[in-house]
Amino acid sequence: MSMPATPHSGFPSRKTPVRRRLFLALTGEYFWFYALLLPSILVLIGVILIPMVFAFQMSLGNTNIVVIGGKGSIQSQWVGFQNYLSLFASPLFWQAFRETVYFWFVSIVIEVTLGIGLAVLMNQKFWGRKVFRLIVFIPWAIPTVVNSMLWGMIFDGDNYGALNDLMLRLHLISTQIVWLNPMPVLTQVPWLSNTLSYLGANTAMNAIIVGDEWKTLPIVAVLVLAGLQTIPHEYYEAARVEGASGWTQFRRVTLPLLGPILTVVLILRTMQLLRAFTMIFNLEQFGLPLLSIQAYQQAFSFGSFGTGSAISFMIGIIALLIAFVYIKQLYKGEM
Amino acid sequence: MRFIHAIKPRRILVYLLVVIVLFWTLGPLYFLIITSLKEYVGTITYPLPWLPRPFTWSNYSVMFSGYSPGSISYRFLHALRNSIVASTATTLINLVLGSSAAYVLSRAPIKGKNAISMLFLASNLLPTVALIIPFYVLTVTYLNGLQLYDTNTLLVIVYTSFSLGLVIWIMRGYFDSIPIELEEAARVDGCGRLKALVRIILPLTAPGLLATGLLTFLTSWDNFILPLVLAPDSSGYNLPFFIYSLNGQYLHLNNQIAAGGLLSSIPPVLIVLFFGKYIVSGLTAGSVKG
Amino acid sequence: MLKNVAINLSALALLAGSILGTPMAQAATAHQSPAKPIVLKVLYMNQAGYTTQVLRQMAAGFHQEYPNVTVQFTFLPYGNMHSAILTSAAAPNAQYDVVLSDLIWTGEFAQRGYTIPLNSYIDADIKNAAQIPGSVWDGFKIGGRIMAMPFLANFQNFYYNKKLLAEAGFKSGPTTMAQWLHQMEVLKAKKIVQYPYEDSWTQAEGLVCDYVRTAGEFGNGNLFNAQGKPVMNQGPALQALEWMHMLYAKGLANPNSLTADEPTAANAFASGQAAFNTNWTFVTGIMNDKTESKIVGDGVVATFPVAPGTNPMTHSASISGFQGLAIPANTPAAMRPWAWKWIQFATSPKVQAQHLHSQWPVWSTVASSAAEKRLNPAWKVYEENLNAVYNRPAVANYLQVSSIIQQYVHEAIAGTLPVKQAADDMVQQIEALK
Repeated sequence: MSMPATPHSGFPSRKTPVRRRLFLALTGEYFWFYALLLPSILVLIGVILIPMVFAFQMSLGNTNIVVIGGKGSIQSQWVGFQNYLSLFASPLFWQAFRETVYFWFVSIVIEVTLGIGLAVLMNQKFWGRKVFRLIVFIPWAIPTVVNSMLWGMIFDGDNYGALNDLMLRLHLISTQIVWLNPMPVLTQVPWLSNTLSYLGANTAMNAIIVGDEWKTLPIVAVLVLAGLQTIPHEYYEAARVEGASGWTQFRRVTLPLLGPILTVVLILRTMQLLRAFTMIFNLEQFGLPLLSIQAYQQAFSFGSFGTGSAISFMIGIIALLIAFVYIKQLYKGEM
Repeated sequence: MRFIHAIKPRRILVYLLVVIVLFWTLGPLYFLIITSLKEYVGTITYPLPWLPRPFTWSNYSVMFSGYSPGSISYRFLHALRNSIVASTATTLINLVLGSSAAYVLSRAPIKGKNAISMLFLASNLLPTVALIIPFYVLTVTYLNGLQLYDTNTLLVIVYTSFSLGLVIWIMRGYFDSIPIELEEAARVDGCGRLKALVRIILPLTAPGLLATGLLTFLTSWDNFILPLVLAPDSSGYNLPFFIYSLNGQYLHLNNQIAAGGLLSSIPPVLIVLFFGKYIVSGLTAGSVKG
Repeated sequence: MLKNVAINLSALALLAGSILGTPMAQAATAHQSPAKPIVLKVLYMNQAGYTTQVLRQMAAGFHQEYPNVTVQFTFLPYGNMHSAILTSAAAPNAQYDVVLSDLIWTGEFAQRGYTIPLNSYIDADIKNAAQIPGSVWDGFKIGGRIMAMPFLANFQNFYYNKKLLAEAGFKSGPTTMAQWLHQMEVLKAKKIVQYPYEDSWTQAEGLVCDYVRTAGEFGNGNLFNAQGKPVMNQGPALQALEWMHMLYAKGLANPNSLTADEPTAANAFASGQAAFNTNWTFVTGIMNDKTESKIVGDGVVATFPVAPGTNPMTHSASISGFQGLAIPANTPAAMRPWAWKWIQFATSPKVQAQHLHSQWPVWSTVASSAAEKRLNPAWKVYEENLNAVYNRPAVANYLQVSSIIQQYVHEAIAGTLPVKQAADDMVQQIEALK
């Protein structure tokens, strides 16, 4: 895993003086190393780091589009951290924050539990198992926008929405439910309903989570399945010999060994959920104010690029922090 | 298997769950398909017809016929072209750049290469929204001279930046698993370093290349927010944006939207059906050490 | 009288122009083509209003009159228009020479200087300005500056299904709010329809339109008073909020209204599930189209019911959705005369008269022409509704104000907030914006 630092690999050791190393770098075989790595580094700097810095700079000012003397430009009036402070003082921002967290948390919980369950199911031996696995994987391939439109039709609040139609026909409900309207849930229990609404729960959010899960559960399940398949049978045998029941086997053998793959899944999905935009934008436009929706609205509807940058910069920082925690854990596990 | 009298209920449970999952998976797909084959009135009547009645192929034919500037087929075919071009270009660039960088990060004893790898991975995990605003501003103002706004080129550049990190991360895992002795043997035989890389190492990492290539293609194909902000006109926009624009007509022609959606889904579904297991093994290779 | 003044002014301008040799003189002489071929870039939307085919026809006609000018269109969904105009304004040189401007952007574009006032062009070339109703001009005027030339006179009509009403025992549509409420209650009680009414109350711009119109029906559709203060928590605006909430709570309005946009509401009406529809003029075409409607022949266009004593001049109240053509401020000076030429052409009575089936014209002369009367038997109703329109507030930060209005009106209707509290919070938040 770790690379030998011997001259065999072709690199000068660190003891070599800088000038000589530079000389060696630009000539001979080491040249290829730098040449191969450089483009990617350039992409990283130019297309990721510089925009991030620029976003931060914009967020420190009232950044607007102005047209002066017949020429357009973007101008930024420096206001320090004012944009961030007014965001922190704005209840709408915190609601967006809570709703984003709710969306992330509920999605992850559903994915991990149902994902493991589905993977276990896919791991069983039954007739048609191979075809079953292929079919289960299909929803993940549907483009997100198409998925949004599909669930928009299913959750349509009129009586011809697929779900309403089914439920009305089965007499489960007497009149259509407007699934995609952000209404409080569990209104029969007021205190619970208020708490949930505070945390960001509402019917529209839950409906969107369901639609999103339809598309993303398969990839989680398939990844976990791959993890399951690497667990040697002997472990289960050993556990059975010691008298462990099926459930105990699951807890003591399966779950711990799924650790690495679950970490991968958590990282990937957390990042994707934090940037959730497409489905919510297509179904609710600005009605469900998650953080990414707010950033977009501030910048492109209101023209306040400073505020929009501030929000998106914060999303970026949160994501990076979580990412570094996860990645460090991942690399620790590998050493 | 274990206890004879427990087999039957367990088998029944398994099959029951399988059926439930099949309904859950195929139900919405069935609904999408029949909606795309209905006339408009069939989508807004109650009780909703669960067979495609009234039946028509017109939702599909409108995507391909009547080609004139501004017509639906014009927009669809342009979106299709843009999607194919952008996704393919991004994939190729990512593979070349990404595997090169991964090779270097795997072999070279550069100080802090782990940090660089982590940085690449982190860049992939950045939310798109975080970068879209500065990107937009840069493209439209400072880099305006490059005339990049609303072009496929710009989209390819941005798509690349988002996928590169994952490609490098996965490919590095593959390179790490190939012993250095193989390369050294080739070089002893007279191959240059680059030749050794291309002729011997790369073929061994082919599964990784396939996995990352397909993943990149799928994520580029799927992207919506980037064309929404950076390329909303038919010279740059892609299929997801086209579907979104279909929704804005005088009437929500759900049948047309469904047809467009299904057509857009065909390439990714085919990829997943035929190459799904490579994608999965590529993603897991980095974490599951056998 | 105004006509005479206008003629005199333009004669004066012609004289002055010919003496001074200003571009105004060029504008006054017709059909002078540019020396070299040029391409005029126009931004328009690809939904609602004129279709792309109609616009291309217009461009072809324009090309015949000005052979060296080719019009190149960019069509975008309405939702992307605003940000596309912003994008164009941010570039050193405008991406478009002519843009379609919604009236709600007038305040913002004027204050930020994204588009130029067209007063000088209009004074020079539009001789019959008085033939465009004052309410249409008002949509694009701010502080005396006209920020766009009226192009599309979109407004709302009141539609009802006479067959359903007849089943309930009503011979004609309602003229007062009380009558309307009564008719809806009877329709529901007799189970003729489950939900007599559906409107576009999803949290989007359409909700503000419906709110302003309803306030207009109760007497005053201006959400900001003469001093520029928001007044949603008093008078007609508050009554309108209570009315909308009441309709939802009583089940007279389809609960789906809360996620419905204009096309969805039109659907409900055209499929015979709703007896009333308050929507833009496109519904007239849809309700009589066999492929899209189940109620062909049963739909009636009418003026809006209003509260007693409201709007004595017009006996109706409506909401404007006007669109105009504007010239971006960073369009090169050399292109501006030709941009204006296109605007003048596309908005001219002659061209609008050729496309009566597409849109209601902005010119009252064309609107009351024999051709229009033949095409549209309900033309008088259209005229009355157009004369009764209210415009949404022409403030510079309108989009932010609108976003707050949308949020609170939506919550008030749904009942998540009590109506009065929602109105008070709305006012408070809007004042906090300034």
